Amino acid sequence: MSVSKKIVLLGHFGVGKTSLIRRYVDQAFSEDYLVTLGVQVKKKELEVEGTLINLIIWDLEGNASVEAMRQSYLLGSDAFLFVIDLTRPITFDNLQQNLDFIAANHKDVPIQLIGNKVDLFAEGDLEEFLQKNDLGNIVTTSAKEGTNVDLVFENIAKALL
Amino acid sequence: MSTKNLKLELLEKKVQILTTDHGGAVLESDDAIFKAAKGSGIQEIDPFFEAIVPLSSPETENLEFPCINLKMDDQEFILDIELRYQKDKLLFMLCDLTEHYQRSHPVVQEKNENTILANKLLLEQAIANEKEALKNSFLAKLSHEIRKPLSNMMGFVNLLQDSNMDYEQGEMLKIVRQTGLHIEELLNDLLDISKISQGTLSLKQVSFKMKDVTKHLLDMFSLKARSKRIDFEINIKENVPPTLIGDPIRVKQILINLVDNAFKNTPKGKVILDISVDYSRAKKVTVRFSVSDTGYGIKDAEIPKIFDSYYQIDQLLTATEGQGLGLKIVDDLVKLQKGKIKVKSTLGQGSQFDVSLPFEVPLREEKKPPRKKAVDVDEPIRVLCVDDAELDQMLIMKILINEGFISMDLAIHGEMALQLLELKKYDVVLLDLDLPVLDGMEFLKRIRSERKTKKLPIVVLTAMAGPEYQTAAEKLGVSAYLTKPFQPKDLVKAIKLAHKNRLT
Repeated sequence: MSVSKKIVLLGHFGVGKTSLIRRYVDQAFSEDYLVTLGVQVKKKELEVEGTLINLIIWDLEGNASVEAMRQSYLLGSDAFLFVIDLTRPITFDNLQQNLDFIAANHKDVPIQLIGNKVDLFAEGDLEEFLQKNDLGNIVTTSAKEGTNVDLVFENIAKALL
Repeated sequence: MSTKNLKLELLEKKVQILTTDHGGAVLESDDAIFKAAKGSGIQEIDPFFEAIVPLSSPETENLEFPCINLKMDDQEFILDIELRYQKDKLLFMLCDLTEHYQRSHPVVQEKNENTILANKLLLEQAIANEKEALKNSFLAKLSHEIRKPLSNMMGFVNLLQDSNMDYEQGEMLKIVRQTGLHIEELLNDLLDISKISQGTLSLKQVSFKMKDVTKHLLDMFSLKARSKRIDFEINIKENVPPTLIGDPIRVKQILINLVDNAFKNTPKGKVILDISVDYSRAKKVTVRFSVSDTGYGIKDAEIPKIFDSYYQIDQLLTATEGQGLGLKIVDDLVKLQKGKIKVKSTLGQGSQFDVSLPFEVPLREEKKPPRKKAVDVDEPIRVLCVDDAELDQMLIMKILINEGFISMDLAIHGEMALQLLELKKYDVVLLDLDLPVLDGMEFLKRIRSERKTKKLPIVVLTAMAGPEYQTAAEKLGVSAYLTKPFQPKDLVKAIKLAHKNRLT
């Protein structure tokens, strides 16, 4: 038996949404930043507790405001991954506003906050930084080094079962 | 071909109509953009369709998805897709806008890259500013903390100098004193650097004579020149206005640092200060100060680094004779006065520092106020010293006792001083600002509000060296504002002057 789940990646441009998907689906990474126009959809099958899950992963063009995005892209979403770039505070300046908007318009759809580019932080600095910026409920990832990338998608798949 | 046919032909190539059953199995397709075999699942073309087929229902209106990237057989398309629900089928209208979107791609790419770069630069700048602010506040606190004990030490060193010591002890004390003065100089430099960086150092705009500045320099360095057997000359060009409007203290500070630096780096030969006019128009004049020496010179690669405070600190740690922070201050002060500084140097032959500073020229020579008649102040001056630090009290007392004609009472806080003022009459109050119970500022406010003590001369003697404290105290009317560490003669002079001015 298999089920399909639509996962949507949101966040500012340049935070690494495409790179995270590329790392997860194709096990690849490129240092070059290539802007995403519109939507690109990728698929990955995984087995969780004996169930085959098709993750239909929507990579959306970066936007500082979720409210300003075309809402048809978000229809039928089963989960959201909101990605920020830990090295660019502007990518989480209006984080709460975005999260509130998603929660209000997509009731009961889980949202996971992801802090990407963790490879650019020294270990001790990271904890202090997350605390200082009130980013407690976050999973930090590195698309470049693969840190926590599989974990994020697997956790969300488990949560959707 | 008619325009209608042309349009149809264009649309034919760019628009594909495709129908499926409600489960996504292809019923019909005109294959204008890509092939979709009848009976195959549309979901197999791209996972995008897998996600949108279940969305369509009798309740949904037309669903529009612009700018959808699809990849088929290594060919990439960017389509605008519309999905319509019909009773017996799903209707997909696919419009190929690949070229249109790809043309806009480089523009968006460049815009985003520039924004990311600007974000990074802003962040780096913010981090650098934060570090600089932290460094400056640390330096200011550090120099303030060291100033107090140094003041005590130097005070007792000065008193020791006047006591009976044998020759060897006297010589050793001289070294202690010189070292203390050097530390004091470095502390003042550190404080100046932090004040300039924090923007709290304000420039004065007063009329001053260039000759007074050069005389001060000659007095200061002629002894040094003689002891090092180096010639020291100051040449002022005739067209330099004798009176200028600017900040003479900061001009002097720049020149003292440059000349001092030249002396430090010149083992033999000469140090010359040339003063000339760079530019002059109406009331504005730019004066050039050139300090040249015949010393060691600076390597080309080192020149850009010599004004950096960290570089100077590195030098301090390694050099046997401290280079100080003088050049960093010179650079900061020149910039603060909207001037320019240039350095030329040849290794082994010497260096030349050219500083250009803008000034105003007074239109008329100001008339000197008539001299006040001198008043004999060698009569007992009754001083009330308000200071809670025991060592400071002892030091002040010893200095004033040595003067002989000054008598002193002590109060350890403002409240006690107010009580003493009720009981006795004093000529001058010597006031520390950092006091327990009633601090110096509050004490000042209180006595200025009383008729009896409204005009009582006050000399502030404090380790609080910030200009904000001085300004606040001066607003409440103080005769002098001295900071610790202080020279005994400055303290005595300030007390005498405060007393004298009260008499006139």
